[in-house]
Amino acid sequence: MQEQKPTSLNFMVVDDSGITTKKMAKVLEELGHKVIGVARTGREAIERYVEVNPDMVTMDITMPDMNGIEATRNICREYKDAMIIMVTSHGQEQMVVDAIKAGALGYVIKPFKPETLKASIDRILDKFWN
Amino acid sequence: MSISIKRLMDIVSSRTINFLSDEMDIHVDRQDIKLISNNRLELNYITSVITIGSTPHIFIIFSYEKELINKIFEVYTKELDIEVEERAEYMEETAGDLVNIIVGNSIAEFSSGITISLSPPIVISSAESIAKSRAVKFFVNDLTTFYGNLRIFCVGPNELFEI
Repeated sequence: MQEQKPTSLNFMVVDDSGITTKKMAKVLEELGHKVIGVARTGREAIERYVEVNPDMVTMDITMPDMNGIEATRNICREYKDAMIIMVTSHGQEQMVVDAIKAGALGYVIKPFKPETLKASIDRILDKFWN
Repeated sequence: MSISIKRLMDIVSSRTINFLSDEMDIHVDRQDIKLISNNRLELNYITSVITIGSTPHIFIIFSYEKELINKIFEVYTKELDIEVEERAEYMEETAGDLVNIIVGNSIAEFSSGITISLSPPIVISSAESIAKSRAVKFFVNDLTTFYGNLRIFCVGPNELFEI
């Protein structure tokens, strides 16, 4: 982990909707970050995580093959310093609890404003670098 | 999972009207909600479907008239570079994203401590109708906008239609 709090992160975006991954990439780039990997299912997210080694991940929940909570659990079990933000339409309290238990560090509900995502990213960075 | 389909329909309808207004600047001029007894549902130009829960299954179906989905697509993708050959695929994904976001937001009001799952959305184009069995009922809400009509169907087993 870097000594100074980073201002630009390498992201992997996980969502089964191609249009949502495009929109997410645009928002992240506007916030000064870079998208270095994309995955469309939970299983693909686990495989791609090893290949691209991102600083942070945005993870949808409802996806074919394996859902985002299961994928988060798998990634966080293997990589203790993984930083994952759930970005999902699910506003259910229990879903948030399940995601946090799986290892997610943030939870953003779609549709979201860029500043909401930025605040979630900043909270995670502050937790590790302050 | 024990829910009233009428209540679910009201919440999904209300969220849809707010989403169209807040995110798309598309205003619903009129809505017409009814329980229908036909065996066949007439669909619009493009249709997206999502399943709620596991037992019993409830289906929420959004069916968009062409001009309306074109307008939604235009607003939803306004900051993106979409190639001409990507347009049809991304328009279908837009229809899927909308039902996923609106229903995902809506079920928070039902969950009360339990997790209700959603299926990934599926999108149907070039279909004219869906037939139903006697074991299920439909609610339909026709939302009328300047750009055309959005039909919302809520489909589930008969016993969930007690109002």
